[in-house]
Amino acid sequence: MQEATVPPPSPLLIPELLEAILLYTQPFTVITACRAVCRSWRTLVDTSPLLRRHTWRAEDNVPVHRRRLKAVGITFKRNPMLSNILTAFWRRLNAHTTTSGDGEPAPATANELVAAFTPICQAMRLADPAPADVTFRFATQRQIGHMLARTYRTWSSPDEWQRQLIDLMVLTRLMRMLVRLRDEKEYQPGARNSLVVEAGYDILLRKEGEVKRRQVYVEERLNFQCCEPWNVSILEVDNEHVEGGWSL
Amino acid sequence: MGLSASRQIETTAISGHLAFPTTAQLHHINLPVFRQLSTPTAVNMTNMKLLSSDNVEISVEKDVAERSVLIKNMLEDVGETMDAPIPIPNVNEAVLRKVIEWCEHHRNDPPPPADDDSDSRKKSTDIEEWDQKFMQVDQEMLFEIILAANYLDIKPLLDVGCKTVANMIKGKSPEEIRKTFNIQNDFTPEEEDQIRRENEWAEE
Repeated sequence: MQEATVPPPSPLLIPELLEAILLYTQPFTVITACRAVCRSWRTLVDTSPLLRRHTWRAEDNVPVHRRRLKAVGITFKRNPMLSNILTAFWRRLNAHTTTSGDGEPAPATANELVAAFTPICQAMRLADPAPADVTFRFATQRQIGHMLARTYRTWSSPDEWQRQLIDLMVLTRLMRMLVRLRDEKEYQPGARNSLVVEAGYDILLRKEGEVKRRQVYVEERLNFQCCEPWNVSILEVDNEHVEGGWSL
Repeated sequence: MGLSASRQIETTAISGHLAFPTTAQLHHINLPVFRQLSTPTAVNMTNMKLLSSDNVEISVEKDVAERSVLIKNMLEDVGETMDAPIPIPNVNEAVLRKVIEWCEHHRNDPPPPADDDSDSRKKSTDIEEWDQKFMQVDQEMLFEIILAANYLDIKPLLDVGCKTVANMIKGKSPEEIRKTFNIQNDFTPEEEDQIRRENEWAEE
């Protein structure tokens, strides 16, 4: 039997084993909960290359010339935490609106909210491989009396960026658009609203064992529920190139 | 019938001079094969002995023991003529028996696919039913199994252990994780504050 003073042996004290365990833990849990447990866990999550990959961390300070490189992949995989981040944003944006009483949202606070999401968006990769261009198409629909009002907006990554979109900063553009749609009352709390964003990614793929690459457009639909509990769901990923059930 | 047979084996293991149960008997009652091999004539060619950290000899079939890459390599180095028990200095009897139980159940598993880390690793967090039951032990035992699997280099068992711990972490707050695993929060108030700011986006 163990002496009372000797702590029981624990794999959690061995970095290689803790790493193996965290690699089986959902990225979102690793980045939020596990990283906040104690110093050694935080250090491991921040420094282990495997865990950084697992949690979609962007490299620190990617030099601009590297951003111009064309990443090529076999399959496309989008950061799974995108839905966590958007849901958190969407809920808080609307909770804010609905609790502010007379319905006149303060733009400063909405901007502050976007600002609160900037660090996490900067710290994370968008997709693998990094898209060359991203397009968001917003479609809102609401009922006014017996009429349906529809609006369409589009945001595309500007041509002059001329670089791959490595991190999630494009999400802050999406968030600003959501704030604008809210401020312009294109959607209002209520069951008769709908807000869908089609996110399209231009990426480069090649077949396994082949050098030749081709440009592929992958699209997914994000459904923003316009009433409580303000969920964001990914409706469909209509593409054969996406990892997880699809193959090239 | 099964019960009395199992008693008989226990006595055999302790006193060492009763007749060995036949392989058929052992299969029937589905017990791991551990016998105290005091009579060399009784040594099955495919059997070998392990010596736990608390000095208990455990007999195990060779191909079962070879689920451990450490033991497999050791046997290859020595040239397969090991009469003396192999000492396993880091693993006590209870844990070693548990590990052997796992190895016996998985003795016919196909070898794991060649190590292409990144993808095979995060493939699935599912644990098959038998393994789930096998891992229903207290935390200390679970941790010791993981450490033993790591030391003995039994990767599939290590994976099952790590997945089990990962499932315990799932959905928990930092404070709950600390409580579950008895971890000290050693952040300074400033660091604590910084983390709170970094995690602000994820708060409900």
